[in-house]
Amino acid sequence: MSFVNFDKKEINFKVVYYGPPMGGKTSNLAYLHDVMPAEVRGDLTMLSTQQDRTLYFDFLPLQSTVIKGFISRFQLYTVPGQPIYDRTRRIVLTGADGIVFVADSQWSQMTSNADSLENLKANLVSHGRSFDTTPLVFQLNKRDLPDIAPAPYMEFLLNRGATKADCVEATAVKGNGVAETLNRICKMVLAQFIEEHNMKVSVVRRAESA
Amino acid sequence: MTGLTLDIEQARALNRVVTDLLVQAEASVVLLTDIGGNVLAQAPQRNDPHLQTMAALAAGAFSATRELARLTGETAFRSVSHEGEQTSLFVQSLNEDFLLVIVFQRTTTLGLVKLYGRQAATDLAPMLGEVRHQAPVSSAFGPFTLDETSAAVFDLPAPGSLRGRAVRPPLRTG
Repeated sequence: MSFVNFDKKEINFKVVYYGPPMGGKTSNLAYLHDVMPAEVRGDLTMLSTQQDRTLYFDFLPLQSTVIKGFISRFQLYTVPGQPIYDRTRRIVLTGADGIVFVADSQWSQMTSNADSLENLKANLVSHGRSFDTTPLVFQLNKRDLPDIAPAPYMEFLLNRGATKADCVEATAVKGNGVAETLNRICKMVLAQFIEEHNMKVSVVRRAESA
Repeated sequence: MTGLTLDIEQARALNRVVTDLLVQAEASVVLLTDIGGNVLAQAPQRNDPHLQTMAALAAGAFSATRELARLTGETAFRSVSHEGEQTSLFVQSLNEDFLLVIVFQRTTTLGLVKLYGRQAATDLAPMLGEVRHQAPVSSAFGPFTLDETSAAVFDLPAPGSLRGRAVRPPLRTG
């Protein structure tokens, strides 16, 4: 849920990386933390088990000057992918402005991808949100591995909403597709925020001039 | 989807309450956050990126305790306390949507923090009610516009090149 502070001239947005276990969600944030200039990003916080599996969430704050006159802060979160952590995923999803669904391209993980996507839809509904109107980007990850499904097949399997989402092929551990995914979801979030806000401003102005 | 919007007067009024709480409770940091971890007000006023992370973690941890409350048959836990050797942290729920996060040292006591925390919660309740239910924008602040000179929201080097180098000038942070 966006948060605007006109005193500090700041706008906060929340982007959640969702997807099946071991799909590469944390790898996306780790790569971004590695390559982002220090003045643009905060620390990467990882709440993991001893086996480096995400236990609660990972958190990486980024900032940009993309909206004139304001600091736009994008707070990136991951969710734990393992099925037992469903309540945790629901908590982390609270107030998300945009979602990156990180799908695992290996043939063996297609059922896991589909299950996670259904879980995302159910959790959005539990928050009173619609899957079709929430900014979403599919990242088809692990494209460097052998035995992977063709991208068109994965799009057919996953991208079946009323509105077709953007799909980005990626190898997150090497950084391929990570920046493109981030920029696409941020642009979608900004477009929705600006459209909603500016529509309200024009309504208020019309009322004031009437 | 409707976000939260603070105008200048609201932001400053909230900051006054948390600053008073910081002084009275002799705390080292006070954050007013929403349940998503956004910082609505803070004391002291300093640009510290760790406070943003602290807010996100505190909000996440408090949400987890709500689930624990549910599992134990309780409606909600009102507060959570983390006691350390030198530094402690107290999180108080103001309502379903907002939290007070108070960091304090051994020089003060949990009792004092709770006492003034309750008083601040009373002062904040009507103000937060107004924030939650107000029209989300004021015409005085006009429409938002994108900086058309930026091709991307974040300019990043191609994978494998320029790793770790700044690719855009430093941002204004204060």
